[in-house]
Amino acid sequence: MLLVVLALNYAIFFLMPGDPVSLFVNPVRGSPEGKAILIERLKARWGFDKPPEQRFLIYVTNMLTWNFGDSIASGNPIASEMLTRLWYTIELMGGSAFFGILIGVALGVLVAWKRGGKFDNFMVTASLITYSLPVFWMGLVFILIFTLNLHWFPHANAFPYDWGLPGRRPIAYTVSAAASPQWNGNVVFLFNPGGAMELLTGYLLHLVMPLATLTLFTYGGYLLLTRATMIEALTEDYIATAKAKGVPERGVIFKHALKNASLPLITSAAIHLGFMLSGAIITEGVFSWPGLGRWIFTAIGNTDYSVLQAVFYIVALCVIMANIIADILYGIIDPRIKYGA
Amino acid sequence: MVRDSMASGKSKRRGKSLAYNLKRIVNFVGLFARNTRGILGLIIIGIFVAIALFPWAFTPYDAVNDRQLSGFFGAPTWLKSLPTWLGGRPNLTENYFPMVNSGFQYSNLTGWNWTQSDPVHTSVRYEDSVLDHNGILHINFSRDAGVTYGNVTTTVYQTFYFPYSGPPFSFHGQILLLINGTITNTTKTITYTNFTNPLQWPRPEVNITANELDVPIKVTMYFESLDANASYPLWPLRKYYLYTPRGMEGMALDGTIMNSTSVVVNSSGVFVSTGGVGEWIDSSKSYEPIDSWARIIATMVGETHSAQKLTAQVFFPPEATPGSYRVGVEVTFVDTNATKPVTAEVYLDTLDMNFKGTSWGIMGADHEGRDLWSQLIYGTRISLYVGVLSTTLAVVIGLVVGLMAGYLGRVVDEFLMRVCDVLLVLPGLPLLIVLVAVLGTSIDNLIILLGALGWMGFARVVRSQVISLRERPFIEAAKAVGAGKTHIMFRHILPNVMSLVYVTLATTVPGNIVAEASLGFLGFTDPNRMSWGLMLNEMAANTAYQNWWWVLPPGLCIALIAIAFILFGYALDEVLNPRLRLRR
Repeated sequence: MLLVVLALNYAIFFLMPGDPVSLFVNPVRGSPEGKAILIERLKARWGFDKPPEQRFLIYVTNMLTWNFGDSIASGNPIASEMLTRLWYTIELMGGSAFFGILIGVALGVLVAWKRGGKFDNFMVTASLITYSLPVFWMGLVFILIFTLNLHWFPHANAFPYDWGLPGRRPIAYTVSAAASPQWNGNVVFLFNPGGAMELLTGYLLHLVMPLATLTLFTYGGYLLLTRATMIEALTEDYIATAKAKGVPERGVIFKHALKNASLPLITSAAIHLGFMLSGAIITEGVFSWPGLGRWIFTAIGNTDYSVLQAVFYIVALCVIMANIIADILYGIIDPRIKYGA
Repeated sequence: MVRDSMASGKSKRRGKSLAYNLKRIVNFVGLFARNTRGILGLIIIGIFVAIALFPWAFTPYDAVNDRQLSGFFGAPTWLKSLPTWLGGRPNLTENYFPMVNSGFQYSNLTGWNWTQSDPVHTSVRYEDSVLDHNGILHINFSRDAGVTYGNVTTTVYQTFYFPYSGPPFSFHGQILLLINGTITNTTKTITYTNFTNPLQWPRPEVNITANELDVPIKVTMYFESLDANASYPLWPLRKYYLYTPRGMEGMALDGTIMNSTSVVVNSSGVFVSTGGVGEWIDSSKSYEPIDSWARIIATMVGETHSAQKLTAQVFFPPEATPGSYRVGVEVTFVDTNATKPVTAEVYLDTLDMNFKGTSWGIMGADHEGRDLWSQLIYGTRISLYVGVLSTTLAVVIGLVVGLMAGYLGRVVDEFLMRVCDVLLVLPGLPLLIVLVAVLGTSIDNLIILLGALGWMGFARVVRSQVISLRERPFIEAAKAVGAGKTHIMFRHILPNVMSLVYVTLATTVPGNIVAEASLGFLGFTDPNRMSWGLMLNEMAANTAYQNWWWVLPPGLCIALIAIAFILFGYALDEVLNPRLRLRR
């Protein structure tokens, strides 16, 4: 499975038109001879001059050893660049998945419990609407309302832009040698509450709008799914048995119905989390979020194959892992399922 | 096929099946009509389909090519009459064309007024045709030899009322003059700026034989606020920045005629000298020599949208109230040469002035002055086209794959499901973007890609359904009669999964519409076909987030059409899969 994905991944980008080398060659300046030499060197730099089968081998070893090579556009090692972006994507996607699943499942259970009522109708309609709205449009409307009219939240980047300038980033703590004439090896850890607070609010304020957008986009699907599976579970005979037995309604809902209804939820949550690392290209684009999704987008613009290959590979890996984890969870929740038996 | 040879029996059977089908359809429609949500969804879809089929019934403008219909970034017109606390903007202006008979279409001087400083030697009258111009105002100056009269001025003007309480987005003036008169042949050494290379320095000096007017003429187009009692020379615009839209040649007339002491016409063009230094105006531009005639066309545009103090802002300050204004042209004959009898003639063919408003239509205008309403209308086409076709493709692929995998089983099943798994594991939207970037951003590519990447879920559903159907007795019976695999798959199993097909068709369309809009928003779409995603892309590219009339409608339309399809799909589901009816 993984090998097929690897091969497909290679084939797509092998066929992709556009020459990344041309990014680095000035079409106006320079002599043709100089350009030819430059192109040759650039090709050697990334191994484009080698035959395809050799390139494929290099690619496979790069992927399997988690050393993804260098980005074509920036020249930096992909692994390190990925790490810095990974955090922002996990912050955004993980947070939205967490809140989305939590809110969606909680409301779904509630709606299934009180099904047929006004609240049910309202929530189903609301989640249908938010689920079918384009996520980028929700982001734009959030910007329109909360940034431009109310001035509550910033709308771009994951932290204030001026933190990128030297000396502007708030300092949460300092670690320094003890300020005594004879240093006795002690290290003084100085916590700076003001700076820490500023750091925290800076990050959180920037996180609010993209997180809210994605959560709003995510919860609807979980609500509908939870509602459907819960209603199915609630019409089963064992629920009637439990009720007849005198189990309190709360217990019926959570212990009997929700546990049995959670299998499809786990599948969809697993797939959701698996795709987490591909980031939300669109949301990250709208909010200029420096995560993996924006990286993919710029890499497509730059014909930066190596980055795209690495990200696609990692995402596929995550999805496969997530599926395996979901299968294991199935076994724990539903004792009827036995693996290897 | 034995029974096919019995023609009469076949036709009988067909008639019977037709009646049966008709009954089924009537039954279905009856059931469906009871579902109000489904009917609502169907009505909304119907409206959108009508808009997509007949967009010209809803808007007279083209979504992409009708540029500069109004001022750029125009707001909807109805905002003007909304109260301020609701976001109304009483200062909005509309397109305004105040000049009457500006090109003398009425074949007389209706609407025009004039003043003459020397009514004896100058005359103003209407002429039917001069050269190839029909309908023209003729200002003539003539006198005998011996006496000079200095500066003789004639002013032709129109007064109009500007009814809006805010500045227009821009104004656009046009003047077309023909100049003629008695001339003297002279050989002059002149320094000139060649318009083909205005940066040339030092400016070349050349000797030319020129026909020089005996009475030099100064022409000034002016714009006057009667209430503020202030007059502004409009043309040439000397003080103010002159905005030159692309594709409008002959705009660089800045400062040429107003101070001219002579207008020289010869075969290589018109020479206008201002003080010591003159400028050649290329004959291919708007100065054309026709014999001894000089034809002058000038256009000028002033805008208010820039941060700079631009002309329209100077003429119409933001706190402007409705008032009277005057547009006119002042012609001065500089009569200094007493040696011979002279005549000088100025023909005014067009003197026009119109204002682009800061508001436009139902939904305002975009950054090029295009109608946003018609963009929304034409965007419906793309959304429905892509949504429906790509979904159909995906469902057909999913159906065939699911049928084959489910019924044929074994190796085929294994292979198809592994393909399915691989495609499911790849990240959908990034892959779609990469493939669109690879194959080109045409609508057809998008449809094919959305179809080719969207069939996996449905294929799995069909497969599981087919696996359960495969073991049913009627399939056994068909096998026993000797029916082939293809026949069983498409004649016996397919009709039993068709209800799934319809429902999936309806409920998958919204996802594909949103996917198309997302790609449009990211810029991976055909820029010559306006779609809702592209509208929002252009909005974001021009950072017009504040223009909510541009931001909101495309998204609301996407949501509306998506919900309509979902409602319709759910209603179909309830009718076609009756097991659900008990549950809800």
